[in-house]
Amino acid sequence: MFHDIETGLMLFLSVQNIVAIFGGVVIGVIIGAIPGMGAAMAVAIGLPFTFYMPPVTSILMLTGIYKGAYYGGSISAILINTPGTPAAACTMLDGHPLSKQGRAREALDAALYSSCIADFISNISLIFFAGLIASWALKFGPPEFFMLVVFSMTIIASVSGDSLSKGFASATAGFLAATVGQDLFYGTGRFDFGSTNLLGGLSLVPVLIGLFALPDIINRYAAGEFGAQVVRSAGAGAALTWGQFKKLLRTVIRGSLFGVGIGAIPGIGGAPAAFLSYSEARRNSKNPENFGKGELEGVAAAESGNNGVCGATLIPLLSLGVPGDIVTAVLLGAFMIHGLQPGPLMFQQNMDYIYAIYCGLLLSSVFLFVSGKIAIRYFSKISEIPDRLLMPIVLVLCFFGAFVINNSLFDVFVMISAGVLGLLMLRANVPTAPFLIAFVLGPLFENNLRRSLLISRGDFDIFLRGPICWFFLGLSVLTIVSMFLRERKRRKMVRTLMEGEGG
Amino acid sequence: MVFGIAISIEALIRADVQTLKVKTHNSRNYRRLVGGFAVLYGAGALVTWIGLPGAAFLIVIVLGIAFGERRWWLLLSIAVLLPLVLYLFFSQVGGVPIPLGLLDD
Repeated sequence: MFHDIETGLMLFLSVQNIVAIFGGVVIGVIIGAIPGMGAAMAVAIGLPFTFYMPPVTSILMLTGIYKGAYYGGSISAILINTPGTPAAACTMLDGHPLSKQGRAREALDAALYSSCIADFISNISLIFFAGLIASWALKFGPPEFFMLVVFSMTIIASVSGDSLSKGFASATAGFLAATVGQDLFYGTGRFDFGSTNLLGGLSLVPVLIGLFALPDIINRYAAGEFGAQVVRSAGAGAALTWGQFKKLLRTVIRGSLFGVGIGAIPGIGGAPAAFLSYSEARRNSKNPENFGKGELEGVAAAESGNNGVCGATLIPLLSLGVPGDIVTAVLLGAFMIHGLQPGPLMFQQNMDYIYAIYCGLLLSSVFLFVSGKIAIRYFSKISEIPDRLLMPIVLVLCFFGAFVINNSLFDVFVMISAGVLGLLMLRANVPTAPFLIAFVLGPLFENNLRRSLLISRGDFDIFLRGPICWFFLGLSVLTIVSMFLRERKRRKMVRTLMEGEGG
Repeated sequence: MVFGIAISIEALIRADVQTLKVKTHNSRNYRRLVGGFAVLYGAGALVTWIGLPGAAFLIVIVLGIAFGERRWWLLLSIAVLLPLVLYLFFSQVGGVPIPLGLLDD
């Protein structure tokens, strides 16, 4: 073992490896901050440039891009209300309101510190618990996955704002949108209206950009709120103090652990982890009513959940050869290009590579901090651009972002149509976050539900087949009951207040 | 799904109609909304003809003027440089075939 560690260290300690990690993180942060460009795309773009590098250097650069992009998504989410990555959509809920209040610097700092800590915890978890967590996640069959998704869905209640009904209505629309396209099992078209484009389903990124970026721009234009009014003061305002961050630490560590847990389970990804962490932070907060209106704890929760996933997704990839998400699928391809096959055999035959990668991952958390600080300073220039220039620029970024995901003009129209829907929802005070959650979790929900029922031949008892199912079912029931009790209490309070005013 | 539809109907019944009316009653406001999206759909439709950079050029010019920017040199610089940089980045770095429309010929 010590020989492997020594060889791994020797393999890692080279200038080109360190430059590759730093370069990867910086590129990742920049690309992640461009709306519509996710971590998967950033890694995919970086992949051809690493063909001629040694295997460890190549993998480290790509993981650097991956981590940087996950953090970078929060910059545009906070500053221009456009999530650079799907996982950053949750950061936007509180990050942008903070930015509007002139506290962008605090939000960006909170996002950066939370991301770095979560990333570090995730890396440590990868190193110490790789085998353990991966073997636990391996026990998950479709019913267990389904119950996990059901529990994740209960967060819809937390982001529904003042009206639970409107939140559920929004979630229903999200579910419906997620069903567009080919049936997962029979391959038949659903809601495709004979269009081959719709048969492929609606891509997440165009829907995301359309739902969250366009309504704000068009609404501001319609209201004539441009030019004189400074909506963002990005980078302006005081930096986050240690005292402020100390209060967030508990949330950050909890979010990081959520990220680690969810990241270790293949197929879930950063967005659900961010929303789950956010929901838990709100549930445990002394000021839950401030969530969605500009709460630092919300930003910290979302970013820690989101970045906590990064290291953990490598657990099933490295120990079992199972990609946890699209990014790790691209990474798996990178390993194979270099003649390496991640999995149990790699732990036996190429342990030095594993240790070299571990060293690089730990260093990447430090580089994430450095490049994040540079990015905050650089991107704070956005505050100096007036809306009349920034809005067309953001729109152009949205157009390119929507197009390049699948090289499809259809996605541009999906984005614009989602923008129309988002604007209608904005005007009717219907929250868009439940739509997004249902849209992200919808395919997972459906896939695991149907797979389970196929296995059990239609018998619903399969969802109660073991302790993991019971655990998630119990958590879901508890959440739903507490949600209704809270809603009843809120309505009672409103009624009492109204009666008081009337009497 | 049935539950979702039922509560959607409930939400619609309970919707704050007064708020909706106040916000959309302003006809100028309404025209701007429709106009804004018309520009976007129009730009999208023009992509096959003038390419993505061309459509982006139009978006910057039309929306920049609509938003109140009067420094034409600045607007023109952004309208040329931004699509050009994005085009070069995505096509050269990312290898994404960005449609150029008429420029392709």
